[in-house]
Amino acid sequence: MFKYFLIFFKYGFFAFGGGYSMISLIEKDIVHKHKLMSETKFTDIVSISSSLPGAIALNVGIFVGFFLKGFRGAVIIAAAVALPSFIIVVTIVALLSGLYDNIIFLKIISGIKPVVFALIFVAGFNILKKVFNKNKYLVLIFIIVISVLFLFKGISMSIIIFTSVLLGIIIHKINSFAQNK
Amino acid sequence: MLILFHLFLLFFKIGFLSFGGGYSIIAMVQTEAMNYSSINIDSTIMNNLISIASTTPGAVGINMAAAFGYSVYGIAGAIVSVISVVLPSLIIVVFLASIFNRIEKFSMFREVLEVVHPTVAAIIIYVALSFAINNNLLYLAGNINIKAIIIGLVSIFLMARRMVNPIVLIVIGGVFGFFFF
Repeated sequence: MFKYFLIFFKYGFFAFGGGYSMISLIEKDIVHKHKLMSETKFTDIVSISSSLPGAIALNVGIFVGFFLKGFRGAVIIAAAVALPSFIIVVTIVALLSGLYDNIIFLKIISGIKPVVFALIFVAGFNILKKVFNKNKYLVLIFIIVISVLFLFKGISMSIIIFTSVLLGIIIHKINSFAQNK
Repeated sequence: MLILFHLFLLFFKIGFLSFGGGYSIIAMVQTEAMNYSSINIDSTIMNNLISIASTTPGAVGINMAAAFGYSVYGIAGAIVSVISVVLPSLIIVVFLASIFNRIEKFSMFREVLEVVHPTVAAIIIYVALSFAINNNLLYLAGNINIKAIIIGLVSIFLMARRMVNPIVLIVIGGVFGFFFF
């Protein structure tokens, strides 16, 4: 189990750009190098994980851990994913907190900020692209939600997500009702 | 103690509702944190934390929990926030993994999530745009911030086409910022 812990722990230190970059590194080790899981099963895990709440790399890790060693495996891999983030980020925030007025730091960070904007934007754009490929009408929901967000600044995200989950359930019920007729 | 309890509530809730992965965790931290009386964070620091969480390796959502928790209440805050954001994933994924083979259960689940996805895309893109506005990436002191806009657009183009690893862009952005901002 320690071997599996190391796979996730190691990549936690190198995967820049968030969950998805980590997943492709992990896939190389878990599926191709150690052959612990079929590629189909891994792809299933990734697609389910990305539709669940929470950090995607973490969800994938917990799935893999559970299939390898049950609940214990799930907890161990969850720790392996979370620890590198914890160590790196706490160190950086602690080191930088004295630098927030430092002119060189401010110059560097203001060059990085547009890249951060792009990272976040592309993450949203990729989800939108998938939605558009699957069902073009759902883009309407995108337009409504983003307008609501800009019109009512400070509106609670949990309320919006909760509403769309409810809407999803209602649409599902209508669809299955229509199919039974 | 109240702060730790509020951090737990904040991140436990986010863990259950942050569909769409790391960047929606960032989005929710930014908008939900103000609902807790004991948690006070300056908006400049908040923007720095977002930059740090998305440019350091590892799962972005966990980075954000660690960075935010640490800034609010030191090491204890970071530990509580990370554990609280991991727990919901552990609960949800272990449950789903144990019924993984009865895959037909997932059809309703998938259909509901189809409606949630455009909502998530809207939230993430909204956060990207407000990050750009709050950090003066569009306008700086009354002028169009042409340098930041160019870095942002080039980064979006390169990342959307998966032509370059984000770490390369982060480094280039930092170097560019050091010399030209």
